[in-house]
Amino acid sequence: MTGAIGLVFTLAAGASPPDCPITFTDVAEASGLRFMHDRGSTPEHRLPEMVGAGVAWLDYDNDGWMDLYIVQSGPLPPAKSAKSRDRFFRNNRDGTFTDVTEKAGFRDSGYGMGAIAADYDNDGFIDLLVTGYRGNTLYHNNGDGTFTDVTAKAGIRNPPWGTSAAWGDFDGDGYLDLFIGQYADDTRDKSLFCGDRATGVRDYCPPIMYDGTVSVLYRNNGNGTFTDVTREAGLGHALGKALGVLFVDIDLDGKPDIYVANDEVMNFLFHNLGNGRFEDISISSGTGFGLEGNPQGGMGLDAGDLDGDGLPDIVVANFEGETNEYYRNLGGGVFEDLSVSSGFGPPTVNYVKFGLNLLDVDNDGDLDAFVSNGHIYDRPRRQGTRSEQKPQLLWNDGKGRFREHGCGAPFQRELVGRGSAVADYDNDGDPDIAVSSSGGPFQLLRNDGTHGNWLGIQLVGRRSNRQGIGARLVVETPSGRKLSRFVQAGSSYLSTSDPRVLFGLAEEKSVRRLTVYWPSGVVQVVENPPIGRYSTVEETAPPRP
Amino acid sequence: MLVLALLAAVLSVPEPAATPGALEVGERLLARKQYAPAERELRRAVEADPSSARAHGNLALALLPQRKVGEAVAEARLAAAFGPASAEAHFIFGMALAADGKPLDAIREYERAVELAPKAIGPISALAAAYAAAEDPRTVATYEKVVALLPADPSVPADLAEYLWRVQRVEDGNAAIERALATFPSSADLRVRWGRSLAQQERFADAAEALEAARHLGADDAATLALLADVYERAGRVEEARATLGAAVARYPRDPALAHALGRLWLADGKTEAAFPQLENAALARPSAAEYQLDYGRVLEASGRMADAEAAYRRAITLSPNLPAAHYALGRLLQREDRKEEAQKELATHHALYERGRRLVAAADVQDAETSLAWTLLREGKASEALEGFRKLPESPESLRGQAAALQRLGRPADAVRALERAHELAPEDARIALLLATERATAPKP
Repeated sequence: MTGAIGLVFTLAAGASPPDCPITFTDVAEASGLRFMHDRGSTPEHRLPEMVGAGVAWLDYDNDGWMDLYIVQSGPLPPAKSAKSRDRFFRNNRDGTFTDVTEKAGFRDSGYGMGAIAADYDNDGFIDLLVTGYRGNTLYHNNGDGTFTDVTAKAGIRNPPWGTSAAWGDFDGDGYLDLFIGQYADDTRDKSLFCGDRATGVRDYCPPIMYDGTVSVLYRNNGNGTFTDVTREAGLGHALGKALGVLFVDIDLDGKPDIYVANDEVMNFLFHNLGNGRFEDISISSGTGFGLEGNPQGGMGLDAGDLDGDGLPDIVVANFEGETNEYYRNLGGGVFEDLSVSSGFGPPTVNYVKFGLNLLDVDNDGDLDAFVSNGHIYDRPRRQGTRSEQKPQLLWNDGKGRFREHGCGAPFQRELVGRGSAVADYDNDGDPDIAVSSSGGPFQLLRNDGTHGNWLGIQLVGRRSNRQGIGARLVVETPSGRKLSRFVQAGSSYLSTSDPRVLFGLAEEKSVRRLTVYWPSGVVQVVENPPIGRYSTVEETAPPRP
Repeated sequence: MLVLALLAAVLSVPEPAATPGALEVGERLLARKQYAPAERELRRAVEADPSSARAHGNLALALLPQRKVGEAVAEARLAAAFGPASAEAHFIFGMALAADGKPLDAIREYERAVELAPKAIGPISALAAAYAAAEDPRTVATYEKVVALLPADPSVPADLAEYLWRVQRVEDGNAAIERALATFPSSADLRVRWGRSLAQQERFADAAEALEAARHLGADDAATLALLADVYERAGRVEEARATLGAAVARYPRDPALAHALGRLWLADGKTEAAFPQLENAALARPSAAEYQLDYGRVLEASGRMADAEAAYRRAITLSPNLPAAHYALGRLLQREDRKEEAQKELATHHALYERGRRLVAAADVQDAETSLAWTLLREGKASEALEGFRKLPESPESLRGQAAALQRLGRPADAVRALERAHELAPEDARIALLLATERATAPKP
């Protein structure tokens, strides 16, 4: 694992950031990441055109540097041409990337949506699920720089419209299971006209006009195959329009729960009962609706400890006219809606929000938020609203209050933003951001500037799944501060972030203790882990027999 | 406009032989809007001179406001019969027919009145409005004639613009109002109507500009200020919305709607202390408004006064048992207080109400989009596909009107008439369908 020393330590823990302690710069072009998304626009304005697409960070060759998969969508219907293929870029470890799509064996030319990476067979190499309209593809990493399409062999049937997906070990057997969000049933598309009836100019129909569908939970059989257990798990009744999904252990009982952001339908929170079944606590938890009890246009989402109480809170990106949601976890399966009072929501109300990532942009120890914005309509009716919109950065003041302030030229650039994923691609100890835009260029926002100290951790599970997906990590600093982070595979919108955990430490010059709560139940303590670099923590428990 | 027309009609009906006492007294009472006594006197006048068009016409005018429509039609019919050359008599007859739900007959009488007195304001104004209701192609030309007759009245071009907006000729409507604004730059009313339309067009920034201009011209009534604040908010200019409402509340301190709107804005920004007095004032001033009780509950809850908040939520539910948000707010509060059973009950009620509402909205939106597709196909010349689309829709005046248009395009006029007859049965008051039916009947070949 390559390390890097942390930068200048000027931020006090929890301090409000000065105007811009850090700056983001779009280095996609300079890094060799030339990618233009094609939404495959049709005269009919079909629903899938406004949804895609996402990106995934994955270290496919285990060199300690994050590589990048970018999903392509159009044309619609798919032309199966090379031009419509997703692209895969190897990280050259010098700030540049090389397109290795062909070499790696990626030949997906379907109408792509999302990319969710994880090592599902615990062989030490990260695999990849690509979701799409009318077809998902599961790629197995062969460990030699190539991937093989194992969709059929693995038993991943192709439901109509996979969007976001997430990997998590819901049954605790040490193998990652898979939850694939399903969007709407668009078979009605051809019988609808939306837009300006007087002129005959079409636009996209709002999702409320389409029926919901049931998302799919696959249990990993541990032998490279999966079984659809949606019904047995008690999820077969949940008709939603899933755009964002994640595994999150809301009550820290070691059993990952599932949260789903639905579009114009109540969001779902499925509590893992531990017997292979889930209980729907969407309503009683207070995470199903907005502050006033209305369903919202849920898109991307993330989970993290925003208020420092050790519990994962949930944030959701919503449609224009709605705020982003911040559901504060009170424990006991109950959440409090702090969207307005925290300042997290109001700055976002005029945007159509998609990607949403919690990240500590300046390494001051608290989680800030990045929001990728872009309208769904070609011609938004509301005056002054454009399809292209600026992204946003929401700064956490360390007390759970947020302030919006973009830092750098990318926050002035308007694009039709969609999926976003965070990774420290240059291993300098700060989070960078990959952003996909609908019908526009890919962006890589490099994080530069003055940061606090940091600690980077990569987990290697033995009894748990190989990547430690679902683990909780708690850092205690000499000043007594406790920071909690959670390892996820699949979050934001159609995307996968860096699975390594990055702790911002502000001025702390050391870490007293790191405690890893593994999905297996093992609790592992690492005293005085080195800061300013990435370290590997291997689970102490032996593998299952 | 209508009242002036009535009075003009009263005063200008030609003088036949009549009993001057009863007729004059009746007309004076009518002018004072004392309809029942006017009716008595005018009946005496009719008895005295059964062939007096003036007496019959004014009697009809006295009967109409008393909702004695059938009798008014009969009297107006006699007025027109005894005064065939009287524009006023035909005008009154037209008004009575319109009140009786016979818009096409009313148009016929208005047209007769306009023929007899092309420069009389009342008949041609009524004719323009009647054409507009029927979406008759002659509407615009007729309004333009009214504009020529009343060049100093800004309400006429505004009426024309509103007609154009209503029939989806948005750009034409905008052009009409902009011409009117150039002619009447100091008309606050024109700018208010323009601002309202711009808000409907979701041109919120322009709407705010128009309403600000109206405000400077004196349109600072509570409704206009509330609208201005609303468009500011929708334009994402919350500070200006708050400033507008703040000024409005200061000017109209007894208006609970303004206080409520201001309180909601503060609450949406997490400013509980600022929101509290406004929402409390609104709730106290209008205790029967469920929404006000609900928002009062929210600000009480945000202030930590849980028991008071619960009481406010319960008042909102009592006032409006089907208000989903009130059940949700109460359920969430109970949940936080660990009263899980009660909470579940409220949250379940909320969910059921919300689901029902969502399904209704979705079904309506889908039907609207399916209807739009059928009309688009028709416009593109695909009449057979359009007909199929209209037939798949649930039967309604709109779907039948579409079927008729498609059938007419397919050269099946008799079927088109049948579709319109059914539409007319479903919506006898719809002047547009009545006019289409009359036109189709007139042009369809006789069997």
